[in-house]
Amino acid sequence: MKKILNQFLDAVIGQNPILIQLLGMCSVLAISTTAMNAIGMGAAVTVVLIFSNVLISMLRKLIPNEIRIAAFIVIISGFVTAVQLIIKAYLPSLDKSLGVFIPLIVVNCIILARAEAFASKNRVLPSALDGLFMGVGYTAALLILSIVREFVGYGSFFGMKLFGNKFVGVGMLVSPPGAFILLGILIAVVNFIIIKNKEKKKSKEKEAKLSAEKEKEVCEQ
Amino acid sequence: MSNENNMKKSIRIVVTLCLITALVGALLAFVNLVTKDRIAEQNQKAMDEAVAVIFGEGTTEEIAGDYQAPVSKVFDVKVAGHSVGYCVLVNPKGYGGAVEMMVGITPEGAVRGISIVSHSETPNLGTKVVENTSYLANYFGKTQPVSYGDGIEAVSGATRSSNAVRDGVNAALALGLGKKVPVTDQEG
Repeated sequence: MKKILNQFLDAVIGQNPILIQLLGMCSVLAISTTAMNAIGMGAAVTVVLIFSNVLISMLRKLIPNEIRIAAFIVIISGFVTAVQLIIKAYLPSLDKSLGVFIPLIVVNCIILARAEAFASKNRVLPSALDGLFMGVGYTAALLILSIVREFVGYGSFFGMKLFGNKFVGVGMLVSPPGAFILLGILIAVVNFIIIKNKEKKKSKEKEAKLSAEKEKEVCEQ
Repeated sequence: MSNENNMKKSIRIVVTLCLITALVGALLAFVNLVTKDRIAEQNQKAMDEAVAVIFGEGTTEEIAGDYQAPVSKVFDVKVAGHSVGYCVLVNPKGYGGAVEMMVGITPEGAVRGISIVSHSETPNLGTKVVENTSYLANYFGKTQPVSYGDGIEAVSGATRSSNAVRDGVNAALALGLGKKVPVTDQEG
């Protein structure tokens, strides 16, 4: 259980696909205009990640090393197309707002990276969890970015207008260059927090060591 | 010996990739089978909604024909069996790709309404045109192809989105649907 929790924290924070690994930036910048888009895109990527990880993990011993990338891409594109058809059939408004970025999940490097780095070397269940956790990490980062952009750009939160119709948004943040700048700030903030935490942990460990040694000395005496 | 090994390896590669592709193909065939009708239904629904925005009610009957881009489909709109006008589906090029829009034409050949089915124009710029119903309303009542100046101007900052709407309306009007200006023989 603890192992799973560690894997979760590592995937969502330590190795966050957007904020730490900086993978799949193109669709992040384009799609994070509204929070609903972020959730839709995040869910689509997560589903593709889980299924492609599971199938690739199942087939990992059958796929010859020479053609593994080709095999991965075929599997990934298959799942992406399936997800796209399902979204078209059941969530047409989401299909409209995500547009071409659903089929472009095929070339999103997060999925290939997880297939190559994790699923092709691990068993099915850990691979499924890895897909889920990476997807959650992706969605979380996307959601933070898009909530800020939607708030400043449209003055709304999950589509709810907060300031009435007279609100004039900051157009810059709605367009991709604004997203780029905002993403940079977000990455800086997250890394700052992570580094601070590490330092705290280190100093705490040192303190703990020192006090343990002191206790030892006391006991020995 | 090594040649034989190489052969074996090549065959294994080909067979594996074929099997994986077949597997994925089967999966997609299944998903397609499940979603096909539903997707067609959703597309139809989007069209119907666009028609409903313009005409309020009515059923559509597609008028088949070879249309030149940007016109893609023409519908006859009927209420209780009587034609109340036409809807022309056009997809002129905007700034972010095609702007799919429905142009409603009255039986007299005038623009009755415009409804945008889908677009990918820039938020806050192109959307000033394609999501602005009062701007689109400038085109209502026009019977002849429009150029900027006769009461309609491009929105500044969104020239190409404005051009898309103009081109779409003009293409629909150029079909000459309606009784007053019969140019083609396709109208009923």
